[in-house]
Amino acid sequence: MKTPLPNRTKASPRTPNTVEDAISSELKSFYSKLESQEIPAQFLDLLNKLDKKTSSDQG
Amino acid sequence: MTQNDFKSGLLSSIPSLRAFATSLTGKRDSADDLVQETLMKAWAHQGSYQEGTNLKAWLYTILRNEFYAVYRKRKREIEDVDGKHSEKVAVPPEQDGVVDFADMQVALLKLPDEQREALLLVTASDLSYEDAAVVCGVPPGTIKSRVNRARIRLSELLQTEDAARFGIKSLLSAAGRQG
Repeated sequence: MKTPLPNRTKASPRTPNTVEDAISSELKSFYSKLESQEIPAQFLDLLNKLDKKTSSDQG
Repeated sequence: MTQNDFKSGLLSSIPSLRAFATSLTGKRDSADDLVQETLMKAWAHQGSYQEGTNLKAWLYTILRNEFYAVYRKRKREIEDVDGKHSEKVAVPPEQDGVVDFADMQVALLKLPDEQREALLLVTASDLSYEDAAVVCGVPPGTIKSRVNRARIRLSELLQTEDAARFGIKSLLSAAGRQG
């Protein structure tokens, strides 16, 4: 849930636009599909490499 | 924050970073290059992350800056030659709801940059208006109005893209399903 901003500037208690609400939920579904993809090994390797390098630089 | 905490923070942010990058670039390869750059920059600037603030928002800021500095420029160069660039999309033609993902991707790429990023950060990625404002370097009120305009524009684009498959009726029933 988003915290609505104070509607001091423009009060617009109009009927909610169902089409745009539907679009938002489609966008969320699109996005979470992208987020649910498996993390490629290249990123895990990269982080491990950076981690190791920093540790050896410090140590 | 220990190096280990930071590392696991980055690790758990990777799926979101990839989703954001893919939505911005529309291309899987560019998106992963962008994520890789972001992780390297984040690691190098670990000291400038303020503990207790939203790590994901911090990472999105780095990714966004990188996108505008490098990839957006490159994309414009390509678009000059090939106006249909945005038709080549990274996501497979599948869908969970009524909109085909490829249609969504194409429509997103047609939004003005500042509207697309605001919409992705707030509506898709669930950042607060305040965090999204920090990422984009504008006041929260600006983010809010960009998100509103983006939602309207996206609705128009998707209805124009494929009026037959994506008619008002199916939209309304999708809205009803949510309520």
